[in-house]
Amino acid sequence: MQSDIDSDLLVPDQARAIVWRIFGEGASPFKGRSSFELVRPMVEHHVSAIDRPRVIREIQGWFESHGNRHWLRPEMMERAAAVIVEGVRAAGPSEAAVWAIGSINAELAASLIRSDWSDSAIDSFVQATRRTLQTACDRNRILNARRGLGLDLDSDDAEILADSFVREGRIAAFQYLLNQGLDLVVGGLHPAIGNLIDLVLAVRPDLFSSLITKLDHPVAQSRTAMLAIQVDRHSNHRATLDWIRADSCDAEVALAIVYTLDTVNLLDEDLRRSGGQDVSEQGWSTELRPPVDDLDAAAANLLAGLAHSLLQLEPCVCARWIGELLTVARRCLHLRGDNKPLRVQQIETACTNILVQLVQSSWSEDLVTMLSAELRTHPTETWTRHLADLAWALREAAPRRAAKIARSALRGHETYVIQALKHNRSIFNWRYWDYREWISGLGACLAIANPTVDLPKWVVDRCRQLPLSVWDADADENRSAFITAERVARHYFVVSFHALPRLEELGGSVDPAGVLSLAKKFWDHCRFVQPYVVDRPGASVAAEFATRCAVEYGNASARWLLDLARHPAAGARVLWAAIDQRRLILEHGGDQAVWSRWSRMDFNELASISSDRFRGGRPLGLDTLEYWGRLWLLLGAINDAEKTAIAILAFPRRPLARRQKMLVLKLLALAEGKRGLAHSMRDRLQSLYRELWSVLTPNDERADREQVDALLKGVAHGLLFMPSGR
Amino acid sequence: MYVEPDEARRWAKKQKISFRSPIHVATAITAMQDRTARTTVLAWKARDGQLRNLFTFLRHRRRDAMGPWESEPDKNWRIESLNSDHYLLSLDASLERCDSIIDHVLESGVLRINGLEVRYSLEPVPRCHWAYRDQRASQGDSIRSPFARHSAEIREYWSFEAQPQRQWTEESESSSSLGRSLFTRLRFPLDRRSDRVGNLMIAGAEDGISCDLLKRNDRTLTLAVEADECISGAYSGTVWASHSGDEVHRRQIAIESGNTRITLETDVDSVGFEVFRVSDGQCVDRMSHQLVMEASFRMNVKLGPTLLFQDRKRGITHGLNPFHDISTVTVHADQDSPELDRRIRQQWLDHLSHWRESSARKRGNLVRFESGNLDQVVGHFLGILATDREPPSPIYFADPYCMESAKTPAQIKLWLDIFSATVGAPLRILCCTYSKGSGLPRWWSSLPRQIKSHVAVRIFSRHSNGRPAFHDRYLITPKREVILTNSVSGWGGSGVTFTTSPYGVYRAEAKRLWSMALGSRGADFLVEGLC
Repeated sequence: MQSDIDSDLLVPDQARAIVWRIFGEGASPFKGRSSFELVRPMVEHHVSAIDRPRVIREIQGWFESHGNRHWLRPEMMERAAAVIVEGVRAAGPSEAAVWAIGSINAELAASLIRSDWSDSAIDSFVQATRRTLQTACDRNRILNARRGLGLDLDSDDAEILADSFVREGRIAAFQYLLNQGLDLVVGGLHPAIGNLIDLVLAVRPDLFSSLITKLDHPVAQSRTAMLAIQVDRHSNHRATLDWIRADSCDAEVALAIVYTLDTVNLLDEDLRRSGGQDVSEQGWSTELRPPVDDLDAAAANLLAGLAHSLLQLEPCVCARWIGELLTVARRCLHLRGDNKPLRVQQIETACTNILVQLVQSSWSEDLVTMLSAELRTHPTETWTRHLADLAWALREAAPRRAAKIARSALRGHETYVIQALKHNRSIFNWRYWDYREWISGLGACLAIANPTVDLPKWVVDRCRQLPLSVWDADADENRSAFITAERVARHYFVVSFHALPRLEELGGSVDPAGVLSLAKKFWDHCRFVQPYVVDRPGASVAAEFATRCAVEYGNASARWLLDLARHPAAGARVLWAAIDQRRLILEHGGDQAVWSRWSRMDFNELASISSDRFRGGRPLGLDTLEYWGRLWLLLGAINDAEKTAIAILAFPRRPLARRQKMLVLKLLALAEGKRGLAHSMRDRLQSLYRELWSVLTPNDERADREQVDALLKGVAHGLLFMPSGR
Repeated sequence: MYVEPDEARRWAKKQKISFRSPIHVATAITAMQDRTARTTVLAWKARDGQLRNLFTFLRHRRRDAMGPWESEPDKNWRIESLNSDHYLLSLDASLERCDSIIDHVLESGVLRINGLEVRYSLEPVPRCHWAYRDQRASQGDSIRSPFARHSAEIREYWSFEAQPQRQWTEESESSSSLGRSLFTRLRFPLDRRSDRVGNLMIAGAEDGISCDLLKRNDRTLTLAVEADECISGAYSGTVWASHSGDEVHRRQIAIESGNTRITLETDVDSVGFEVFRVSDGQCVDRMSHQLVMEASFRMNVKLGPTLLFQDRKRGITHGLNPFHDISTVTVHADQDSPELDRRIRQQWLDHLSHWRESSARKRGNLVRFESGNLDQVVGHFLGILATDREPPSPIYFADPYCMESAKTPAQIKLWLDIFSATVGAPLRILCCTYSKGSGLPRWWSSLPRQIKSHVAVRIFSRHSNGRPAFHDRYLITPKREVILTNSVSGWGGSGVTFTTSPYGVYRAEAKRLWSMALGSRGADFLVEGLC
């Protein structure tokens, strides 16, 4: 091959010896000139005068030009590479020689080097390459921002500082580069640096770990890992776990975590594909092949293996990495749906188990400090959740340590709340599963930290510190502080309600009077703040909890609940929750005697109060109408049910969700089955029924359909109470 | 002889005899023991070292409205030093105690708190008025109620002492540096109401009832009234609603506790109500809302880290987040409204837009001249001068380059016309560039004294580099301030637009510049007098 190239090139030996210098300097990120620009000065410096014009013409002829831009012709790449490799071999390893090889495509360079160079020559070249790359990384000269991001920068010299990526933590940095920053990893590196990384891994894959250690720049490290995993993953889906060793550097551990989670995502993707119609043999992400291999189990085992691998590290270091892993896992693992994804649950369980081991075997205050330090605060993150999980997991095996961790979590929670208040940040969003788990965990922490906690006092002490006086409410220029404080107050209530089941689980007793007192304080709060806020605290999640807890743990009497029904702040959701919680107690085989204390008169009175409130004239939102509807279904209130159905159907602007249509259907069915509907409404009922279930009935709607069918026949299916009239 | 109830109460208190107030102030006075108050004093250290009252505000309301989280008032003054000159003092206590403190202040002119003495200079007789929650623009001049849910009866003791007023106005910049939170805590926008500087104001929440007017997407209004006691027959009210500038509903209703539903015939975009006390006809609450008919939301999602850039040549680091997504969502409240209502509203909005422009032209607030119409421009300009001159009030004309233009015969003629049109009224010309040492042009010097004696010219340049101190062109007459888009020298060549500004900002600017001492090297400007 070489002889062919030689015969095609008209360059004298004297000139051939400088070709590598031209390309080396042109490829170096430390030099400002391109290879094409360097041809003339280099030739003039090294080649005899008589040959210069011809040599310059010859070498410049290797390049294609467009305006001021010049690049090597594709057909010349191989020939030029051969001359460069030959020149570098003769000159020996040096920084210039490294950049010269870096100017060649890595695959081509690897093939030439393997065929032409001795093992020792390769080794010494690889050593020189690592040193050179390390220098470039240390001097932050490996990225070309314009090239990588396509940004219209004033200067080619603009560099993205490595610091940009690691401020959020190493795992987050590598995760970002894997998912959103791939352009940077693939195209943003200076071409020679990318080629050299690829080349080193091609000729010495065993140097992966060393390369990651030497190249202290997230983009270069990402490039290295990306290349390594592309090869390894196809033969061993657990390859990344080997990157974690007792002596691994931080970047290696972080990359192992990111790429392991990525493998889990790919396995899940393969699993999803394997259920499809056309499953080809091609394109599987790992060596595993469904259905022979159990991809689901493999993914679960990989997550458990990841957590277990971290145990090789020093206990505090391990705790730190687990903290960071728990913080980012939610973002790294592909999520679907509103509920907690299975893989997140698996990695969290695995991590908690490892932490339990650490606490039991290597307990120190530093352990919790290191763990907490990596559970970062973020508007959408609920970082004390994991501490709470750990405390709960340790409650029996190591109750004192569990209490310490619980107190630490509560302190962290207070800090979080202070920040939320300071920045007027919303912390109350029940829609998110991690928020719900966080609250539940905080409730557990309250119970673990102090099994005799006085919950009303705990709430009152905190709420008194909030800017929640009427003077604060009046300060309209600072209303957001009041609104945030109000949400924080509700948050405290919800946390305290969540402590109740945990206290019971821990064997403590729950004082029913205390629960009712807590609930009363909540209603007083709602009544006070209601006029000043846009939210309706009395119709909030917290309100529902207050009601359910009063019924469940407070043994609320019928009189108490009737008083609640009359409370100005209590709305449809609360009334429904009160009755529904009674229903749940019954369904779960609860105390029948409690239920029996509710007389028919109590039901009638409740229905009467509810009906009055429903017709009270205040404008009703769609969600409020839904709660009224659910309440009428439980009470069997026919007229109000029909009115609510009509109001929902007439609600302007929004197409009804399937859930809302089913509710309307049930309400109309109740009226139709008991006393019949007007002709037009009956048509509406039938059309809705056909719209929902004419073709098939989804599994999760079978019970709803059965209830509608029963109601249409006048049977009190799913109702607590079926009056004969009204 | 009419005596203010408050005066009567204080007199009775001094005489240690009981006092029963007239019916219409019964709520405020007789229930005093059930009311709690917050007194806030903004004090300022005068040059003589004495603390003087800048504003004192006593707000009081029913004690049972304090909310479940309010502890007992701490009854001690909190003193906060805002900076070396300003103090904020506040006290939460019963209305009785706060009132006795106010009484003492009114008698002695001094408020003594823990060694601090705040001096007052107040008129002995208060003026009583009302502050409503109404937020309509037309009510911009009246004070808004300091209570979010209630209007307020105000008793205000005025101060006409000049010094704090002047000091506050002069230091308006620094008062804003005290921060918005100060005025939030003071609960009075003293930065916007400098006429109240030095005053003592007492605001009692009219909190016998609370009213709200609610509007949802159906064609109904709900007047929600809350009252702890029976109010039947004690109040009456009016509810109104308008759409596209037309009043489509105005009806008197009896005010009762609970929700009163009012059905509307059309869409509405503005609603309001007034509540009157039947016993004396006093309006005790008033509120109006412009409904939000259209809202746009702009979303910007950051997906990655902020990348820090360093330019090796300049060593500058700056941050950039190139990965983001922006989208705007617009929601129209009336998208489901009947066709007739929507078309009426659209036509009305078009009309408003056109009307604003055309009325500006009709009133001469916007007059535009294309190039090549110098005679018309000059005619218009001289017309303003002739119409608006009111000797001895000065006229200011600012044009950075106007003195450069006094060279051609046409320009000289223009200046002569200007001089003669303003004879008798001081004409103050502010400009920026003129050849130093060259003095006035010969034609100017040779003019008879009668025609130029009222004209004065001053040159304003930047002290640091000699460049023009301002760039704007404007004419300030006693009747208006007009912004010009071109220098005199360019009126003929490229045209000019005259826009009348309602803000008075340029007038203040012109006065400030003119008040600078000649040869002043203070601050940034160098001021020279040409004639």
